[in-house]
Amino acid sequence: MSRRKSAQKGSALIEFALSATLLITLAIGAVTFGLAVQQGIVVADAANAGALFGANGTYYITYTGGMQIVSWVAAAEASNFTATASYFCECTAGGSVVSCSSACGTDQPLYYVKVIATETYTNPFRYLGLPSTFTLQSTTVMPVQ
Amino acid sequence: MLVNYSLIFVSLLLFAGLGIDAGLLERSYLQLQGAAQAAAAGSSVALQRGGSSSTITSAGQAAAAMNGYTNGTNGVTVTIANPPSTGTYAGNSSAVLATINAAVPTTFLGILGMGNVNMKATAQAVAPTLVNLSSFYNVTAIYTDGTSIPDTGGFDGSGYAYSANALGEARASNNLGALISWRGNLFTLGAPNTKNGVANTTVTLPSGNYSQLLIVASTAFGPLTETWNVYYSDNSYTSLTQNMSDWCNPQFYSGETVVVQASYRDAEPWGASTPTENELPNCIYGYSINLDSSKTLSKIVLPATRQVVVFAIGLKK
Repeated sequence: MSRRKSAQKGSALIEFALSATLLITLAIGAVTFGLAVQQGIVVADAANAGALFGANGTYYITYTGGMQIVSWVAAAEASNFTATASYFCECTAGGSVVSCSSACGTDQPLYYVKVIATETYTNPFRYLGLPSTFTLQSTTVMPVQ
Repeated sequence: MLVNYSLIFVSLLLFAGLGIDAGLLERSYLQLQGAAQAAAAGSSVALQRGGSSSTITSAGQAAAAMNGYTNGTNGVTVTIANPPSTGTYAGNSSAVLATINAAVPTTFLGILGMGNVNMKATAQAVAPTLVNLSSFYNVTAIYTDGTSIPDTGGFDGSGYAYSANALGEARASNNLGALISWRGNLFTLGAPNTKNGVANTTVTLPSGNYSQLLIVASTAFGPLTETWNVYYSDNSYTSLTQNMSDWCNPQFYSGETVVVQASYRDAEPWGASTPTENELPNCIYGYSINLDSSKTLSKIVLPATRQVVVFAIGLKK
């Protein structure tokens, strides 16, 4: 009787150890991916916010510093965040990029603003060969005029 | 017991996967919505530039493609409706509705046979009704470089004027007014070297019901605080008293937006014999007045001064 009880206790302990290991691994994995996904949402939102600022009007097209600041503010909770803003021109939508000072027939070219938001996410739990950092990037391009 | 643990473990794994996939889908939706906004903006720009129906559609699809959603690839469809058949601007030929449908791949949900989730994002843009100011122009405020400016002429009445070249070289060289943008609304300034601004008068507005009036204007010898009165057909009116920056010294007042900044202006003040380029940055500003859309619009009384010059007026439904 005493031996059976002892064997049952041992079996339960092994099962608990196995299941606990699996559950903890699962929980850490979920937290790791969850945090990365959450940062990815922040990055996408920041790229959109910066580009929308640049699309406010003619004056804002060349105000790339302002677009970057708006992106940074939108990504305030990201720790290793960078934003690069630029603008470019085309004569026809989706065609070749041309100099913004060039004429397209008798008209001004089409203007676009572009913001690339990047977050280098540091993985707090490094195990099972997962990388120590993830690069999360989002790009938004907005036509202005 | 092992079977129980296995079932619990698999269930937990699926729920964790569901949570992660939900996050990934939210991120995809943000990007899809951004692409739809870009598509609406791109097609609206094409519409306001006088593009054909096919140009409007291709401009919207090109903007979506620049944001990673190319029509006809990977289950993506980008449709542009002008006018929209549904929504706030249904039937409005000045409006465009961009719709993007995309099959977004999942990671963990694939285990349950949901390898893709169909997502849809829409965005709309509406162009303003531009008020034709040509019969009201009474100030020659914009010149092409090298054109003589009268001593008492120009934008400020003292021989200084906006440079059409600095505002938009491509169009200036063809004697056309610059194309400028403010909040997705495109305005074409008056042609240079002729009357192209309006000051100190009353402008008749198109009869109709509108919710907002957009003013593209600037002030000489500012800043000034001026009152704008917009009248309806029943003679009631909406009033706006607004601080207005000087054309060369933006103060970023509340209700004021810098629409365009030129890097220099043209000058031929009293005593000068030839026009020169004066390296002083100068701006044109945007102001908006919220209207009572239940009333029919009639006219706008501009500030009673030569110092405030209006370049364009737009009306939004």
